[in-house]
Amino acid sequence: MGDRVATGIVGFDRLVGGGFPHATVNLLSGPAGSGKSLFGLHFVYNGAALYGEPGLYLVLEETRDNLERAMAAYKLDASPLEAAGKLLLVDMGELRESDDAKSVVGFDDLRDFLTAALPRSGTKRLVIDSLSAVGLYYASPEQLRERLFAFARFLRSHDVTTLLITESIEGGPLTRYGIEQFVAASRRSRGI
Amino acid sequence: MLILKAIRDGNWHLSSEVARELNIHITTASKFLHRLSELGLIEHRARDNRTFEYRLSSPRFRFEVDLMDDSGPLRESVDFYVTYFQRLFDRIRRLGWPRVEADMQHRLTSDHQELRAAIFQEMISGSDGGIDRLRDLVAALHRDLWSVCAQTLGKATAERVFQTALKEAVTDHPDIAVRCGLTRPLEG
Repeated sequence: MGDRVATGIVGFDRLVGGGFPHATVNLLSGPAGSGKSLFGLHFVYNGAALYGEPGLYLVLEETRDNLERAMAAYKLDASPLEAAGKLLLVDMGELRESDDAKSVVGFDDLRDFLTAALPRSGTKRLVIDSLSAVGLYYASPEQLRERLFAFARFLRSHDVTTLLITESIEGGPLTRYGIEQFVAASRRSRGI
Repeated sequence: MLILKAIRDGNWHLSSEVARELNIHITTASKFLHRLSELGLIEHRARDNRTFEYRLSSPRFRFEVDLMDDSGPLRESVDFYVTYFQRLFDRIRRLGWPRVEADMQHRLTSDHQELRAAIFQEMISGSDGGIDRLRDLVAALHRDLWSVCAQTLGKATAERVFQTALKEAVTDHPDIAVRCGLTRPLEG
């Protein structure tokens, strides 16, 4: 059990033998409204609050305000953890210009950001919400696939346990682009 | 002020005489003398069909400057840079890394005191170097803030944040940004 990273969600940890395997890339998929972001928030929040592991939550699709509202509904107060540098909710949507509705963040941008941010923050738990938003950056599925695989290699080279979030469409493939599951050590699906 | 001193003897002077005394171009001297005449600070009369002579109405005069009403270049430049830094900090705050924001605020408010003092000295003396000093200060601050941001957020992210703030500031103050080259210290 020592190589497991507990999410702090008791039922889930019991089901999977204690948590996610340490320093792996894991995938969480599900349709809109199935609670994927909430799961990710609990993962980083509990990590910082219960286990003393600094967490970084990268917001790419939702807004930070939405996440804060969701956390407030579950009485999760991120402010003291943020002030202590134990939890970071970084809204990459702020990199967009006001008239730019399309995602402007690609995997290379994320990699550049994380190369600087991971050692600076001491992050042990990382959530990227979501891959669906990053996929919009690429013109072709081949390009997306190639950059996603390179990005996953980059993540695995760091001492950080990562949760990638992606959406799935009910009745459709397991993941938004049908390739995300191939870079993950484990995959969890959530239903409504 | 130098032009006014050049004609303080109360006699009539041609633009060419003033230009020679101050070692400036005759066109520059003519332009300033004409403007001073329009403001009523000096008198003018036609010497012939093409030239004018100027003299000081009185060797003593008093005037007040209301900086709140007078949007001079220095004041407009300060407004531009204030907008830029506000937009930059808004973005950083909303991005959500409190430590980066705090480090940047510290750099913005504490460093380069000698450059800050120089700007105020230029303001007090009324000389024309204020904008140059301001640009020097902004360039130094920009380098510091960029360094803090890029080291923590990566160069690509920092570049996006800084460029977006700059575009927004230029959109708010397009005239002064171009006229006084205010974006130059922020492009490095």
